[in-house]
Amino acid sequence: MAKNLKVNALDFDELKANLIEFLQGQEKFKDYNFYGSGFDVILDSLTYNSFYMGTFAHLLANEAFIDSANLRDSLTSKAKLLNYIPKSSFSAIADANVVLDINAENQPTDEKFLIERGTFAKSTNSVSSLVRNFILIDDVYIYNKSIDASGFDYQSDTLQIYEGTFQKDYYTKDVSQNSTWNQIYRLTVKDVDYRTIRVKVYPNDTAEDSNFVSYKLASDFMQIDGASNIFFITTDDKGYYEILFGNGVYGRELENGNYIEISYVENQGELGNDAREFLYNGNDLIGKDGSVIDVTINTEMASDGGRGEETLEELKYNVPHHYKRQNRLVTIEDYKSILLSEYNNIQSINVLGGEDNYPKVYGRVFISIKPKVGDILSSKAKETIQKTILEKYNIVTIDTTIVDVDFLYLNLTNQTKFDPLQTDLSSGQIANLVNDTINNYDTNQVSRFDGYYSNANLYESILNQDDSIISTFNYIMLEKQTKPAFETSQSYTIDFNGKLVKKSIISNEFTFRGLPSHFDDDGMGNIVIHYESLIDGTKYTYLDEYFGTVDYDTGIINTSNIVIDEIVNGDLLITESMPIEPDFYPLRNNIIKINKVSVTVTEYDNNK
Amino acid sequence: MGKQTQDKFYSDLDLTFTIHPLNNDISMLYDERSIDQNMYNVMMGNNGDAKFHPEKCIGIRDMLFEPINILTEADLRAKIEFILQMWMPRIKVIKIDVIQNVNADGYNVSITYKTINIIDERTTTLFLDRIR
Repeated sequence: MAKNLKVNALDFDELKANLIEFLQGQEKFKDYNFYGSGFDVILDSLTYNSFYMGTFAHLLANEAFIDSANLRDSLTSKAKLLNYIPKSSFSAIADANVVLDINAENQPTDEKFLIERGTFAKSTNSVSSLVRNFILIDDVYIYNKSIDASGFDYQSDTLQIYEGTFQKDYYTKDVSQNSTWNQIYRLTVKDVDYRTIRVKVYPNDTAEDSNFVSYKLASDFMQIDGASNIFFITTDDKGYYEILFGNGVYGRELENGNYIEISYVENQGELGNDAREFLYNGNDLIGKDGSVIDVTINTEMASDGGRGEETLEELKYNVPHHYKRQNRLVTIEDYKSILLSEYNNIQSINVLGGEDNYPKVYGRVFISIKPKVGDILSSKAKETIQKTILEKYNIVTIDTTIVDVDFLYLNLTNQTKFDPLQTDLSSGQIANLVNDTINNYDTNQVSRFDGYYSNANLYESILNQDDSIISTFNYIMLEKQTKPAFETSQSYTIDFNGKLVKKSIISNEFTFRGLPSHFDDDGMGNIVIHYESLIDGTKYTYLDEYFGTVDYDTGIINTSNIVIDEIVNGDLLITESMPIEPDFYPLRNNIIKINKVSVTVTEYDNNK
Repeated sequence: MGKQTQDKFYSDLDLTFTIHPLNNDISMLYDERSIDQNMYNVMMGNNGDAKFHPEKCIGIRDMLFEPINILTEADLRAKIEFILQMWMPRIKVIKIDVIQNVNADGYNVSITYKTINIIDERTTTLFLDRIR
């Protein structure tokens, strides 16, 4: 008999059993342990209450930690403590530039045009009735860039335009509402890209006054003092953004009667992606002669990066990583994390310390980015990343270099055999099935920095497509593409990143010493160039003259200084070789990519 | 603590919570009356009354909303027998009669049982209707 009530149970039946055990020490009620008795009904209520409180305490403890929280409210509260802004939906962003049709008649006297922030363009390639407007979030001046004094070249630099609707909210600082510094200004809509929030503070309660001060989003507490014109962003429990101003110590405190204008872009998330064509939709630009100026928008990058609200799972991942990063780029994960969160056009990223590079370069970080659009980043995009992200967070003595992705292409010749009695599909349909499987395998598994190619995996995927497929086989050739410097003596290093079969290397045709030529290997580690006679088309080889070496174990070809006049077809020097091993793993800034696929399907002969 | 007499084997709280006229405490039920209350509670349990034990409620109350006829009568009898045997181990059911009372929209139930530790048989009569 228990003299004391046990309080360690969490399960309902166990709790009730503890209560019954406790009551067994008493004489007054003897029916305590019979189901349906009056005392049992009371015990049920007591147990249920204890169980409820136990569950409540359990949930409360769960919500107290980022790992186990399940309520958005709890996670956003934790995020506030770690200086992280939970993201609402993001606008799709497009890069474009603007060209104005200016001539001597309509050119303004000060030779510049102002395009005011606000509605800027609408997308004309929408597939449905969906209206997609694009917004310029800051004013832009367009100047005459013509180097000819009498010329007219009014065009902008690359502009980033945000999908959505331009909105403004107005508030007045009112000390009678809240005597403390932290009056909260909540945005009236939810789907706001916080990067588009702009805050102006007017001294009096009108927005007509041009005497305003622009406040910036606070980013680094080390640089903030009581006179800093900054604001803070946080979210409420429903996911609406709230703006807070300083308290006179961290950021300037607003004065009573200050009029606050908050502008932002309400967006449609991922519905804004893939806008490729734009039509100017802003205010008319009027020239000096009173005519309306034609505005042409040239797309530099289709809209991308639009996405919905940050999910709970994403918050659980991002908040602690943001804290770990401490707004500094130190570890490889810091670089990946900050670039992925601040630059949209990244499909895959690899970061490498110089000590792991070949050759080693200490004090330098190499970053490779495979963009979502295209295979390599434009030099403009690299410059933007360097200036706006890396220089902001990077450690002073560390140099960063954004290197292009080095693709190792795989050309597959697939042979598949199937049993026609086991399926209704034709050989053509089986071939399409195999082709799609290879392409999907490439997209999902191979062409990423952390991807790899495995023949066995691909075989398994193909065989799983249809029961009638009996066997499949891939004949693989590796391909490297190099951009040669024409008519210049240059040595080339071509790295296949794996063991090669001897006498399997061959290049495409190029002009060398005025003759159509190509190179291959002699099976003894030397690169040999063959040329074609212009007289009778006979093939010759430069005897006793080698143009480079190949290491069959590492797969690295080093050519000596050769002068390539031109490439016969195209402008890339293409080198192919056969690998010894069937699996390929990327190294450093390599990405493996399945380039050409040729599928041959044959029927299994059941009569054999 | 009140003094217990030897001939009272079972005691329980009275769920009507009437006040005892002498000691102003909650009234208690003893032996047969305690078992009768128990029997009623067991039979008339609603779904969800027994937390985490749905098997303890087999829907006798729901049966009262079925058409009053001989089939429902038989079904009720079977269910009452089942639940008493299952959840009232201190009694042994000897006989159950369920007789429809169309005029009163209910059933007259008569349960004859023998209680462990008490020699005499006892018959309890209940009227089951839709009103609690």
